[in-house]
Amino acid sequence: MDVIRTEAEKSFLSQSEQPALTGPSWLEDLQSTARTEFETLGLPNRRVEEWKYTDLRALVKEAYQPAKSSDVSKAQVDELLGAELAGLDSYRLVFVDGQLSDALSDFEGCSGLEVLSLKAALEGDVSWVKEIGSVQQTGRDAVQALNLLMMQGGAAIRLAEKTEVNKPLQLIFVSAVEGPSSVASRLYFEIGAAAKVEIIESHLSLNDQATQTNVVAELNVSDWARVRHVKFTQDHADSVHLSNVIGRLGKETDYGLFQVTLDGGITRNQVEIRYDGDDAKADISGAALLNGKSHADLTLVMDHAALGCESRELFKTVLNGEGRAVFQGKVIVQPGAQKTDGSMMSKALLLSDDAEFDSKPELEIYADDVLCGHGATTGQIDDELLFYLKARGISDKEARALLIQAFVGEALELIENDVVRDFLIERTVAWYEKD
Amino acid sequence: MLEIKNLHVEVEGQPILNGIDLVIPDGEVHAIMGPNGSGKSTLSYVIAGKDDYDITDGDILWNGESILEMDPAERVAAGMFLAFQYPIEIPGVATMTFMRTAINAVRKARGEEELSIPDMMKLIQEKAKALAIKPDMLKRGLNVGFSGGEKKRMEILQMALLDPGLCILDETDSGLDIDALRIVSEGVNALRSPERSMLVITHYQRLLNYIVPDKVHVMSDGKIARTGGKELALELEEAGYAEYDETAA
Repeated sequence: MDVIRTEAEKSFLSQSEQPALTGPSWLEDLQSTARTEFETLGLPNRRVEEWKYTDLRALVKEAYQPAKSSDVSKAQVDELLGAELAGLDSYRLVFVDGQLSDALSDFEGCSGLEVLSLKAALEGDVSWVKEIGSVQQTGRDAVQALNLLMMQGGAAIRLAEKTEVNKPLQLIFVSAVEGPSSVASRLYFEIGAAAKVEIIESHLSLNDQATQTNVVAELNVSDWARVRHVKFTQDHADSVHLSNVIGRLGKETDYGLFQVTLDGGITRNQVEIRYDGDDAKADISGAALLNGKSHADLTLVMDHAALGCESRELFKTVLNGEGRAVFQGKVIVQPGAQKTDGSMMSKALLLSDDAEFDSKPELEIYADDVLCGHGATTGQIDDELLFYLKARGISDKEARALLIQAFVGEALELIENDVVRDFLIERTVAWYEKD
Repeated sequence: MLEIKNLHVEVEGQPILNGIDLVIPDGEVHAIMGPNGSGKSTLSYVIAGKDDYDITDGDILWNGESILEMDPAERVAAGMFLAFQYPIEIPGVATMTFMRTAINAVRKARGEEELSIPDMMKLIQEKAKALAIKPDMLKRGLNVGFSGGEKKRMEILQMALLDPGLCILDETDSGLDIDALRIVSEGVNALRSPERSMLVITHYQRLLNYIVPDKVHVMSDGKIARTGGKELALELEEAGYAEYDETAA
């Protein structure tokens, strides 16, 4: 049987025959391998273990056409961001339909920070950019392959050794399309030794249009570097958001990723962290609030290949309507990765009878001196707590809102930046108050 | 004025209250004592409007109106307040946020203006001080990590802030040492007024040395078995509940 058989698969393959971005021979090699991969794998489906709960072959009926870049004003970007994020003193990289906009971006004034649009980076054949596509190493993945073939834009960002970026770096992805379109973009971060940066990545839609987004962020984090990364998506109900965050952590690095998903159509947040250096730390946490028919999948691979590394994960999911969430977390401890300390927790709160939460934590341990644990809970709002609040004059609706806020709050508190945390608290409050 | 008329209550088909008749006029403090399992706590939950109970007969009137159709929050707005035997811990909800939300919800329901944040803080801190509640407790998650005494003081603080016409104290003395009992009782006594009624539920006479009742009722087998003055509590302390346990059996 042909692997490529659905309309969407045929259309993706034909689109990928003419990659939007081409460049040096190493890229051509990568893209050629990626094409073979996609031809062999097709869209991920339920027969693929990692995609059991998110069957893209069944869920994605058609491949949208790539977006053409549109005009967007700074005022429109500010409005989309909301007062808090727009007012945040930060460097800005604004991507309109995947393309880095010179006019809307502002990242001048920080020595040691270098930003190139992906196109410029590839055309210029800049030496440090050659690592693109090399950070991923956990195996073959059709979505990552499609990204290499279809990437239209994005950026390559480098921090020189010991650079401490003095303001947060906001990466703002604006979808400005007028009709259903696809956007594939790629970010490549080269974080120098002992550098420090805070990345705030938001994916926002201007015209409330369905989009198919495929975004890959590769982070090559050198020894002693510290990175804080927050990613926020609030997509259209017919959108498909496929995200990969792939990190390689050097010695004594400290990486924190917090992902927030509000509604949307089909969202897959896949995170692959490879611990390459000893004593590195990563905290990969997040919150998802899903209503309607939103489907969000969080798939995590923490690959411990060095001594004494630490991984922490805390995910909170609130489901209403027919919302469905998937949590797949895998902690791998390679032979010799002794003293690994891993802890993973996923909790879901179901507000309706039709919501569904699937949780699959996995531990693959090949070393004997490690501390690894995982837990998962699924529950409803506790009637005793609810009665207590109501017995203090708080209405049923407000009492529920307080309890949801408390549930999600335990995770949101992990966000270090006050402004970003308050912004996300406000967005989550707006989510449960709208019904 | 609280009037309970021939109240019959079941839980999952099991009768718990078997015809309670009780009237508490404005300004009076009534105590209900009784053996464990006599239905004292059930009565307090039913008055507060908890879901798990089926009222099969009778009525509860507050200031002449039946409250049975009102939800718990509406009962609070109408002036009723239950201090819990076991106050609930709610991690992630800061005590101060919770109190602000409660006060403004009740004020709004009573047709009063909501308080500004500074006025609110001032009010809460002032009442908290009288109950020896430290400011840092107000910042913590509601009741999380509080000692038994701290939780009970927090209940009395909420009671003072919500300005009820009827205070129901469900075994407020349980788990309190003598100092905590004194602080809590002083807090309760400060709220006694000619407009406010109180229903004090307790197993032991000890609390009634501090909060002196106008009347004492003995509850047994889901009914009021006997009613007397404050001296009845002393009598029970000496004789115990054996007599009432037998009737229950």
